[in-house]
Amino acid sequence: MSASTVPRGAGRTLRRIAFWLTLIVALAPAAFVFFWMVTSSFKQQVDIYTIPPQWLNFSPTLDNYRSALEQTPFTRYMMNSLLVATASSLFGLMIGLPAAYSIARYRQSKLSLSLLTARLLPGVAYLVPFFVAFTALRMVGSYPALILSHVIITFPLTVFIMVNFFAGLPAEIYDAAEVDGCGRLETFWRIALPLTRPGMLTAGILAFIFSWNDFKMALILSDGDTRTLPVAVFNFVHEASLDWGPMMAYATIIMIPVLILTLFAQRHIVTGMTMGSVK
Amino acid sequence: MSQLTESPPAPPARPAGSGSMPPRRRPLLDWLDRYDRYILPAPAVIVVVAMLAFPIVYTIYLSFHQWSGGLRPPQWIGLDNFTRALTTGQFWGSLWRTAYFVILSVGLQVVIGVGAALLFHRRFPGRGIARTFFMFPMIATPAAVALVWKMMYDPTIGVFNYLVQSIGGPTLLWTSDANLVIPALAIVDTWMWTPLVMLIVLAGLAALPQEPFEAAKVDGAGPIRTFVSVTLPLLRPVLLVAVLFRLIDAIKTFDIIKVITDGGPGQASETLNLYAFKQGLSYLHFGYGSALLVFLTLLVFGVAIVFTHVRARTEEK
Repeated sequence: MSASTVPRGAGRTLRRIAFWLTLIVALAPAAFVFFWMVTSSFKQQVDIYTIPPQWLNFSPTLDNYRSALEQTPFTRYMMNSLLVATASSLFGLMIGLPAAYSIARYRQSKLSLSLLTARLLPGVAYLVPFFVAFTALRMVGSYPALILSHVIITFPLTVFIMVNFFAGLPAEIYDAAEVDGCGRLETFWRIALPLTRPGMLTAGILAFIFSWNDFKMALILSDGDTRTLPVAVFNFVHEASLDWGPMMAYATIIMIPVLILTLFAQRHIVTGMTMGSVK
Repeated sequence: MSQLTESPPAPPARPAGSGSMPPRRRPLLDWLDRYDRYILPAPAVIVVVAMLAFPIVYTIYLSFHQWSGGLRPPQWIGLDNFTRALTTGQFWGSLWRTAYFVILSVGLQVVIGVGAALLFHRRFPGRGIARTFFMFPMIATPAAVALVWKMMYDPTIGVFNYLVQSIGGPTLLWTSDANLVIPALAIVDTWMWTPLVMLIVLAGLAALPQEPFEAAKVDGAGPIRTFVSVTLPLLRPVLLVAVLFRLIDAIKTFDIIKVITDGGPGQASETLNLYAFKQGLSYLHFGYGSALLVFLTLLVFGVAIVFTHVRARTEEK
C-alpha cells in the first residue's frame, strides 16, 4: 500500500479511494443478496427466468405479493408468528428478569453456568424430547407447545442481557433503598426494574427477533393452523416448487420486522449472541 | 411465588403505594424477603430443570433404547445404538462432512472477519450505518435468507452460475454437485456469520492498549509488520472467543442446510446434526437419533472444553 514514488497529496487520495473501494467490496455481499431478494419479489415470472438476469430493467409487479398473500393463509401465519414471538419473549422476560437480578446481586454463577448449557446444547437435541413429551400430552400443533419451546430461546437471552444491566446499577442505589426501609423484593420491583427499563426493551426486542427467526422448533411442533412464517415459506417450497417470485415476496415480508427491530437493538446484538460469556 | 410470576415488566408499581407505605409489614412479605435470593430465580430454575435437564436426561435414556413411538414402550437395547453408529459409514460420513463444513466456514469467517474489523475500526463518516448494514445477514431470518441463496444457486435460473460463466468460468452446479455442495453451504454460513466475528474482533480492537502500537511506529514497522507482530498477538484472546462461538454454532448448523439442500444431493451435505434430525424426527427412530444427538452434544461440549483450556493457558502467559 505504500505509495512512496507518488507525491504525498496524491498518495493520500489514492489511499482514500482504496479505502472506500474496500468498504464497498465488504458491504457488497450483504447488499447483493438482499437486492436480489427484493428485486425478484417484484419481478414477473418471465423476468425471473431470463438469462442474462434483468438487474433493474423489468416492469415491477405486485403479483408475487398478491399470490403469496392469497395462495396461503398468510395473515394467519403472520398472526401465529406475532403471537408466538410476543408471548415467548414476554414469558422469557417474566422468568428471566428476577433470575438475572438475582445472578447480578448475589453472584449466582452456577445458575448462569447452567444457562450457558442451553447455549451449547444442539437445538435438535431438545426437539426429540420435546416432540415425544408434547405428543404424549397431545399438545403438538398447539400454541402453548410452541411458546414453551421458544422460551428455551428467549429466556437465556433475556438473562444474559439483563445481568449486564443489573450489574451496571451502582450498589449505592440498593443500599439507599434498604436504608429507606425498602424490602428486598420491593427493591427489585420498585428500584431495579424501573431503572433498567431500556435494558428490558432491548432484551425483549432481541428475544422477539430470535423467536421470530426460529425454524427448527416450529418445523416440528407446529401444524397447519399454528405454522409460523419461516415454516410456512419452507412448506411453500415443497408445495409450489420453483415458484420463486412469491417465495421472495414471502422472504421479504418476513424480514421487515426484523430489520426494523435490529435498528433499535443493534448495540446489544453481539452480547445477545455471545450470551455474556466473552468476559 | 405467585407474586413473582404475575409480575410482567409492566410499568413500575402504582404510584399510589409508593412513598406512603406504612412501616407495618406483613409477615409473609418478610419471610419472602429473607429468602429472596432463592425465590427470585425460582421460576428460572424450574424452567431450566424442565426444559434443559429433562431433554438431556431423556435423550440419554432414549439412546439406550429402541423406540419408534406408539403404544409399545421403549425397549432397552444397551449400547446397540452407539455401536451401530460407530460401525456405519453414514455416521462417519456425516462426521467428516461436519468437520469439512465447519473448518471451511469458520476459517473463512475468521480471516474475512478480522479484515473487516480492521476496516471498520477506522473512523469514517457513516460508520455506524455501515456497521448496522454489515451486521444484517446474521440477524435476518435464516430460513428466508436460505431460500434466497437457494434461488441464487439454482442451476437454471441462478444468478451465480451466470456470474461465473460471464467471467469465462465453467458451468457450476453449486448445490446439485456433490463435490461443491459443502463449499457452497460454507459460503452461505460465511455470509451470515462473518459479521459476528467482525463485531467481536472490533470490540477487541477498541480495547487494545496504545503503547505497543506507538513502540512499533518508533521502531519503524510497516502496517503489515505491525499487524503480524503486534495486533494479532494482542487479539489472540478475542480471536479465540470468536472461533469458539463460531465452531460451536457451525457444528450445529441446521436451518440453511435443511432449507437449501436437505442433506442432498444424496447425502453429500448431510452433517451429523442433519443426520440425527432425520433419524430422530423424520424416520422417528427415537433411540438411534438420540444416540447420534449424544455424540453431537459430546462433540460440542468437547470443543467448548478444549477451547476454555486453551484460553485459560493464553491468559496465564
